[in-house]
Amino acid sequence: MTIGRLILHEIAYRKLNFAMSVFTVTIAIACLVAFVAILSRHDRRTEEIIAAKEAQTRAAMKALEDDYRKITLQLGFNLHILPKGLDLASWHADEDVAVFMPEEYADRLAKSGVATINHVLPILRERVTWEEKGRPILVKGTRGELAIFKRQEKKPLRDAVPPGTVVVGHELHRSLGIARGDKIALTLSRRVREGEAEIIRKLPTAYLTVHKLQAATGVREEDIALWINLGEAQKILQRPGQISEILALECNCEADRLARIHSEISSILPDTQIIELGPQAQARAEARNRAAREARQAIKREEEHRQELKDQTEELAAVLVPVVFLGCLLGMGLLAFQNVRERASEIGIFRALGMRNRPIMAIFVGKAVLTGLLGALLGYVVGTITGVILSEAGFAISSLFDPEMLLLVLVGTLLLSVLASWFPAREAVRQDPATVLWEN
Amino acid sequence: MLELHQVRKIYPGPSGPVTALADFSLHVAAGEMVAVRGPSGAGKSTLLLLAGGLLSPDTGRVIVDGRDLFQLSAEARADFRAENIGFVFQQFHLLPYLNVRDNVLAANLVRPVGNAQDRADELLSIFGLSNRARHVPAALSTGERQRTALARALLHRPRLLLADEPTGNLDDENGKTVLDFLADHARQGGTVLLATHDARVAEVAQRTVSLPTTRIDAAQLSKMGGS
Ligand SMILES: Nc1ncnc2c1ncn2[C@@H]1O[C@H](COP(=O)(O)OP(=O)(O)OP(=O)(O)O)[C@@H](O)[C@H]1O
Ligand SMILES: [Mg+2]
Repeated sequence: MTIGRLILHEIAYRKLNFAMSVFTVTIAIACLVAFVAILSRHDRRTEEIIAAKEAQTRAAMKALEDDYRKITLQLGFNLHILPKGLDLASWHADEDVAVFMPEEYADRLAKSGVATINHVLPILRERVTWEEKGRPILVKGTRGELAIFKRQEKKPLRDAVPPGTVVVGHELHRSLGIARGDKIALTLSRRVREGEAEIIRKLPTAYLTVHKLQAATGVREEDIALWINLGEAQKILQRPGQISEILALECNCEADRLARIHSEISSILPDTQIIELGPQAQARAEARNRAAREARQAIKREEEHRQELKDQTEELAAVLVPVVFLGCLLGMGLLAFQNVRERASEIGIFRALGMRNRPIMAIFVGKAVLTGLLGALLGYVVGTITGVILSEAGFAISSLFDPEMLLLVLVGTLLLSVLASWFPAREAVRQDPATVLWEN
Repeated sequence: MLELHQVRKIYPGPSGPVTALADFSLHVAAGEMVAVRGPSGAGKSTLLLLAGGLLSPDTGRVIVDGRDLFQLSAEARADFRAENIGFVFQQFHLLPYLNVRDNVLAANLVRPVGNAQDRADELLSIFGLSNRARHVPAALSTGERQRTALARALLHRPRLLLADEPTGNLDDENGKTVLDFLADHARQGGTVLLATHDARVAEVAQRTVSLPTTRIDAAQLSKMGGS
């Protein structure tokens, strides 16, 4: 006979009593585990929903920002980088002003890896008369956009024009009946001041093939323009190596945007001045900022909402978990306590037989621990299954298995069983055996 | 072997304290078999419990084999009991979940000795319990329980056997068996103190001690205690 066998004998003899005790612990732990499981399930579900919503919002905002970007891009170039010597009043009045800068400026700008602008397009532009048609037109020579150093290449706003060809603005081809593939003779003339007099100077005739007809834009700069290759334009207009301006598109640089553009460009090209097309630029910046602001606000709202939900759950848990836990502990404790009290006379018997305190305690605490651990294990299993059943469907039991919770439950039950049985056993052991026997 | 010196035990009760023993003294020599007699409520059981170190006296000393039991620590007293004293309770106090044989062997759980199994079987056979060895106490007659309790007390051949009414529920034949066995135990050097109403016991015992019938009330006693 050992103490272990003694415990088993006792359990076997009072099967029903033992079963009831284990059952009670099982119920208590199951309630606790199921409760915590449902709570954490709810918490996790909330987080999932919110995360999904947040992702949705982000995607929507990204799309919105993209749309804004595309729309503003369609407004075209919004920066004119002009030679320093150019009188801006005349430029605005679209008077004939023959002030140019070297084409090389555009290369310099692109090679510098300038950060505040995109889409560098050198242009040689002049208002002339098309002698064959007797029409005032804009001749624009371009070589296409320049790749900016170390910058990913963007889809150009304007393509290069192949040599020997011409791209015809809408108003011109509409009113003059020009078709794609037509060969046109291009004799240009410009007004020049000689002393007091203004004379008209004819330039040599060039022959070009119509490469493309432009769609209507409603903008003078486009609709009465002939776009030709920059090199050819320089030859025709007799402005070798020269351009009249560089068109560019500002970057998405928000704070103090213009000052930054100015300072950067003037450091690269000190001999230039910059004109920003106000309304366009402003609209663009504002649209972009609004999109960003809205995205930020939407995410912040989501986060606030999420925090609120989380707070609510946590508040609930903060009250209910300890209450349920304490209830379970108290119930289990009382049970273990009661069990030892009921059997106090046995302690008197063991004592009368000359058994020492420690083995007596082992008999009673051992039984309580066995009961508690068995009940806790069963309770954990039952509680977990209940948690799965009661919480929203679609969760595997394995996803709910929480080793930390199991450990907590086992350790908690162990401690409690020891405490709850130790005290009454200790109390009984301290008394005279006869007193214990008499009283029980 | 057993000396009680002026032991007094007063139980608190709902209608005033109850004096169970009033300054009682007794000497029992080793190998002696003594019967304590007295009417119900005279304090026989109390006397035995004190002698076995199971109940502490209010005053007085209990000396077993030269050892003052209540000068020992509780643990040392338990050890001493396991080593030297066998006790049979008036209510038997068997462990309900152990069968007869295991109840007898419960003493061995406390102080294991090599031949305990054989000794248990021997005692069961002597007391006519062999065919009841696998029964739990609830399935036994009162007499059978009594003999089981006696067998448990005798497992380790205690030097001092304290038995409270060991024949109270036994028929003549079984009573004789038990008394003969106890007398034999005493002859082999064991000291036996019995509490009994049974006239047969007095015949077997070497000496009979009578507890006074008269009840001394606690107030009177406390006056006496002052001297
Ligand atoms: N634990 C106790 N608490 C209170 N009173 C007690 C206690 N034990 C015994 N008594 C009282 O002390 C007195 C002596 O009791 P005890 O059991 O020693 O008598 P007894 O001689 O053994 O009686 P019986 O022959 O009926 O067994 C009784 O009046 C009893 O009621
Ligand atoms: Mg009695």
